[in-house]
Order: sequence, then structure tokens, then C-alpha cells
Amino acid sequence: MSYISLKNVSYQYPYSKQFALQDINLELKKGKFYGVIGQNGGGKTTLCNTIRGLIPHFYKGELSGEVLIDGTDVRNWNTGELSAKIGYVFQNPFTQISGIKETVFEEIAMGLENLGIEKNKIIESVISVSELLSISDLLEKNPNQLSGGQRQRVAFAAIIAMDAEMLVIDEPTSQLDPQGTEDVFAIIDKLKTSGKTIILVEHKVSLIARYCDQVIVMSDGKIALNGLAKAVLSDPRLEEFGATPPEVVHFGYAMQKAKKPLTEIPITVEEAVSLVEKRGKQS
Amino acid sequence: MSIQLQNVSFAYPDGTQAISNVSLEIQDGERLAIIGKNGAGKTTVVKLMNNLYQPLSGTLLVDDIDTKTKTTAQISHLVGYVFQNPDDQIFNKDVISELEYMPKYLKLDAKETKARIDEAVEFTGIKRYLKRNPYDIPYPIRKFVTIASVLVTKPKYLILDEPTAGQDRQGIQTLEHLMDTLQERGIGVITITHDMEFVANNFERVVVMAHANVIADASGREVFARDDIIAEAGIRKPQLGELASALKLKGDLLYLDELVEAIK
Amino acid sequence: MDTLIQHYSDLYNHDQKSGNWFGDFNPLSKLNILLVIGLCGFFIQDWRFSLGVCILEYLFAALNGKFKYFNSIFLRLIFIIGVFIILIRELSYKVENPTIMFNLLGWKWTWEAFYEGLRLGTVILSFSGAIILFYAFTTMRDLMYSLEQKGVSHATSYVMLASFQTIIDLRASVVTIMESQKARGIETQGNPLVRLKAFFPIITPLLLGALSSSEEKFVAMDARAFAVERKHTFLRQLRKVPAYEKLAVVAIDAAFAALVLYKLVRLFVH
Repeated sequence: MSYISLKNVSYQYPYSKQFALQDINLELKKGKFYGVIGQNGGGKTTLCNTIRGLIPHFYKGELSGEVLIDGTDVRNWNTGELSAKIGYVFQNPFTQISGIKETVFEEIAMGLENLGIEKNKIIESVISVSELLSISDLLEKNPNQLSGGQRQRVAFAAIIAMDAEMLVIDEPTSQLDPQGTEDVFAIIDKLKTSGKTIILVEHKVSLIARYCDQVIVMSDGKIALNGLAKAVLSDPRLEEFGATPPEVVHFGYAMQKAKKPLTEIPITVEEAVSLVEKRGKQS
Repeated sequence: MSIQLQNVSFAYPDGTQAISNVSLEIQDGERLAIIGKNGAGKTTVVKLMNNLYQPLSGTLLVDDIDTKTKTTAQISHLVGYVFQNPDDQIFNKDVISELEYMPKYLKLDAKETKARIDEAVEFTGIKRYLKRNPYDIPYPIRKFVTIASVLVTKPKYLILDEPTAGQDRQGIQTLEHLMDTLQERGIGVITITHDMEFVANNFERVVVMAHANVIADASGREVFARDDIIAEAGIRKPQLGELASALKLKGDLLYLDELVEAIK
Repeated sequence: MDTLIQHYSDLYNHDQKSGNWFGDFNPLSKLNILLVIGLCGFFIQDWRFSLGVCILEYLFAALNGKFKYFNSIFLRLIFIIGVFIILIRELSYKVENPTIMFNLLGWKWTWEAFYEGLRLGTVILSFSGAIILFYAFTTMRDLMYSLEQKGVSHATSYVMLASFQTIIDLRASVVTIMESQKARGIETQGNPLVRLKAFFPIITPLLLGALSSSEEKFVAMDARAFAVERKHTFLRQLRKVPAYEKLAVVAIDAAFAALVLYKLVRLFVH
């Protein structure tokens, strides 16, 4: 059974004539890692807001069709319980810091206090999650005085600590350098291995290719492509929908054109290497 | 004419050394990428160029003018700086007023104002947003609004701080086209970015920063061939460069054609 | 990792200690005591009393190691509020047969207006001083905890505290916005007219930024389970209010009530 299921879902923000989402049909399975890519303004964030239940509970507007979260219609969910079930991290690291806690430790612990977790459990969770995100040295710092990149990690840690079944993550690496970005992807991958369902919006396709099981391409409020990462990212129509394929995909097509075709189009460097080596052995 | 940093050092009031003894020269019309980890000193260097900060020691000359003798606003007419976050810069009720603000402030005549705005709008592709409230348009487009609002002041050098963050394919293309046009006009472009593919595809000169210093200043090809520099700066190779090294091809291959060519 | 766990479970399984006897008072006791002291001036309306309170506040801050914090804010207030109020009073307060202090700038500066300004100025300053002391001795998180323990809803206490924090955040934003406007060529240094011209480009992004981030803030805090209807855990453990603290609060409140009553009675008798 699907964990999240959208049937013929359309949505307009209040006072907007345009459809932010149009006729979306989407099934998300438990324990899978989904990547969402596509043009800006194409509906990626709106899709996140819908899956997280902020539409229709916080953003009013016109929602039609059926949104089921773990089998229950989103309209029947209690918003508080929904926030415990689906974690949400988004782009802007500045608004995600509560502003009322004086140490990073207590900032990360805040969600757990709200959930009523037992004190010693909170302490253990905060410490283990801060080690996971390599921010142990920040625990005693004031969260309001951190850099953008550090805040992004703290905000992420605060949500991971809450241990929700599913995570909706919207461009979590915008403030991070390449190493920081790789780290975050590796952490998300680890979360997936521990059974979490993940939906991630990102422009960094080479990382999407490496980690995601499935990729959804949004364009003009519709799902333009949806399928296994391999099939979607190597789809020749990808650029039409405002998404850039990983460079190794271009490489795969260029090899074809140069009459040195690989047996398939690679989407990661590792895959490209093994395909090129395979080709070398054959010839 | 050029921007020259001569043994420039800078520390923040809390004592953090942000830049130590950096020397760098950027000719007008040159295109330069500055890359490196968060906290390596990239933003500090460009804030010094724009005279938001002044060197604690050493000299910084913009077209032979010592920045210490001028205010930030005076230097900004030569060196325009587009901040990372457009929301810090935008303040008018619609995009067109945002663009008109600086020409009016500088008391340019109507004809000149219009010419500059038309040009900036064309370069940034924001024509269809002119009547809109800047806060209602998507974040990546807002970034182009701030680029246009700096372009209308006709700087000789333009600094872009993380222009690729959050941009989709179309945004990146607009940016690439913009940089080409500026270069044709002899305007220097200095870009801070974390996007290595963008660097490899668009910059002849790459400055790598780590721990408050410039650790490399060379072509993209040379920089990305140096594994020691990549490790020290905490950056990574563009994907095709990674592929080339993984295939143990000649170390400095970086581009599609040469890669396809090199594989038998 | 184990030592970290040990450290934090020691920290959070014991009463929070600030290292200062007054700092260890319950936030609400502190608020109560200081509010009462600050409000007295409004009822007594005598500059000698209010000035005395200001001096005591200074002494109290100094004796309890908060002189630097208190002084940095209070000095500014003296200039902003004190001087401003006296000036306004001098320009607007009229009495018959005034006692002239001196003639300056074509204006008769009178002692009556000066005392009038001094009275109002010291009343406001003594009140402000009490508020500054409260902040000097209380962390926001502890105030929030104690409010919630008194049954104030989680959301209400959050909104209150977050608004204070927003003001602090705004100061940080002003710096960034000012830099970014300077960077595009707007002059912020020089004569007052030039500075005035720079005001609009700085204040607008500031306000719009604060507004647009409030929506995101809601979404972010909702994600941290603010709407969950479960019994919350309080990580920090506040000291159980000791008898002498309760007694102090009751005594000060009683004295204040007596003062108010006395003033009211006099009001009706006259």
C-alpha cells in the first residue's frame, strides 16, 4: 500500500487564477527516497506543502481531488499529529531557527519537548543526531549567531531528531559548499536505510542520481516525468521540462553520437566508468 | 585598468582573521570565479573590492583609486555587487520602480535612464515581470531583478555572490548569456559559486580560497587537475573531470568533446 | 559521546543555576518585583524618588555583576528619553511668572519646565531601568517555561518571546541591508539629508522581510510540533520557589497595593 497517495489533485493558492498543481496522480511508497526536480515555479514546493498537509490546513485556496496520508484523507488529519508524522525542512535557514533558545542543544531539543519525549531520551537523541550532522562542537553556541550553513545543519538536525516516519526536504543544501552538500545527501541516504520515506527537492541532479530511488519532474504544475531515477534522468525530454541532466548523461549521448555507444546511458560517474570499461573489454 | 589587491589582510571586529595577505589583480573585462569552502574568505574578498570593508593592512586599488579614500557608494559606481540574498536589496513596490531607483538617485536624464533600464532588462530576461511586485515573483527571478538593479548603475566590474543557487536550467542559461554579453562590453565579472560544473563551463580564470588565503589562481583546467588543491580547499571536480580521473585518462580532461575523443 | 550524555543529563536533571541569588528567582517573581518597583514612580510623581530608584537600579546591577549590560543600555536611554523629554518640555510647557534659567537660541529656558521634564523623564527611566534589570537577570527560555507552567498556552508564550527575538534579529538584518544598499551605490554616510534618503531603502526590505518571514516561521515552528496536543517535556528544570522568595514578592506587592490605595483615597478626598 502507498504511504502517500494523490489522486487527481489540483490546487490554486488563494487569489490566484493559475493552478499551482494540476491533475496530479502520485503514489509514494514507504521506505523509498524520491527526488523532485524541474523548472522553478513548476510546482515543486507546492507539491511538498500538499504532502506535508500544509495545504489545505495552513494555505487555504482551492484543493480538489484526494490526498491520502497513510490511508487517511489529509482533511481528516489533526495538524499536530501530522507534524509528528511528517518532518519538513526547507530552504531558508534563517526562519527555521526558533529564535527563542539560547543553545543549539536546546534548539534541537525543542521539537522533542513539544512531543513530550522523556527527558533522558531527548538528551540521547540530541547528542546522537548532532554527531550524525557533525555539529557536536556547536551544541553550546547561540543558534542566532551561526552562519547560514551552520543554521541549515542545525535546522536539519532539529527535524531529524524528531524521528518522523517521513521527511519532506526542500532544497536543504542551498547554503552549503560541495562537501557540506555531499554530507547532507549521505545523511539522508542513511535515514532512508533506517526505513524512512523521503521526498527531496533539489537542483543538484548528480546527487539526485546517486541517491534517489525514483525521480519526479515537475513542470507547469504537472508531473512531467515520474519513474526510476535511471529512466527519468536519462530521458531525452528532461531539458524540455526545465531540468538539467547530470553531465554523464550528456556524455552517454555524445558517445552514441560519436559511434562509440555504451550499452546504456549512465546517470552516475560509477556507472559511466563501468560502462566504459565494459565497452573496452568487448572491443 | 584593474582591481588590485596588494598584500591585503582583514579581520572581523571579533578577531576572526578573514583574509590574510592576499594579492590579486583583476583586469577589466576579465571573468573570474572564486571558489572554496564556506568560511574560506570568499565573501570577505569581494566585500573588500566593493569597499564595504577596508583592508586592515595592504592596499586595494580600483582603477588606481585607493579604496580607503572613498566611501562604499563611491566605489560601488565602479564595482557593482549583487548580494547573495535579493531580499536584502529590493525595496520598491514593483520591479520597474526598483530599476528606476538608482538612475533617479544618480539624477540621470530620462533618455539615459530608459536606455540603461531597457538594456538591463534585456540582459536579465525579466521583461514580463516589470509591473509585478518583486516579493510576488519566484526567488531565482528576484535574483535577476537585483542583478538588473545593479547593472543600471553601469559598473565597470560586477560581483555576483552565489548567482546559481536555486536556479533552474533556464536561469543558468540566462546567467551564462549575461556574463558573455558583459564580457563583450569590457565589464569584468567576479563570481562566487559552489557550482563546479558552472565554473568549468564558464570561467577561464579560477581563484581557489582556503583558510583566509588564495591557494590557487589558474585556469579551470589546471585547478581541477590538482588533486592536492581540491582536497585542501574542500571542493570537488566537475562531474566530467571526476569521470576522466576515474577512467584514469589524462589528468586534466574536463570537457565532453575531449572526453569522448579520448575513449577508444 | 557517553561523557556528553553525562554532561547534559547532569545539566538538565538539576535545577538551573545562574550563579546569582536574584538570577535564581523564578522569572515571574522577578517580573513581579521589578514591575512594581518600576511602576511606583508613576504614582509618586516626584523626580527625587524616581531618580533615587534609578540610582538604586544602577547599584543593584553593579553589585550583582551586570553593570556593563545595564549601563550600556541605560546610558543610551538617558540620552534618548531623558534629554528629549526635557527639551520637549522646555519648548512646550508654559506657566505664569516663570523662573528663567537662561536665555538661549531666542528661547526662555525655565526651571518649571525643566523640573516638569525631569519628573516625567525620571519616571520613565526608572521604569525602563526595571525592565532592563529583568532582562539582565532572566533568560527568555526560562520565562517561557515559567509562563507555560502557569498554564499560558505554548503558542502564546512562543509568540510573545519570538516577537522580542524578532526585534533582536531586526538589528542584525539592518546591518546586512545597509551593506547591500551601500554596495549598489546608495550613500549612507554624510550629511543628514543623505542619511535621510538612505532611510527608505533600508527600512522597507527590513519590514517586508519581517512580514514575509513570519509565514515561513509559522511553517517552520509547525514542523517542530508546536501544534501537537500532548503533554510537553520541560528540559530545563526551574528551582522550586522557596518560601523567602514568595515572602519577598508578597511583601513588595502589599507595599505597592498600599501605595496605590493611599493615592486613590487622596484623589477622592481632595
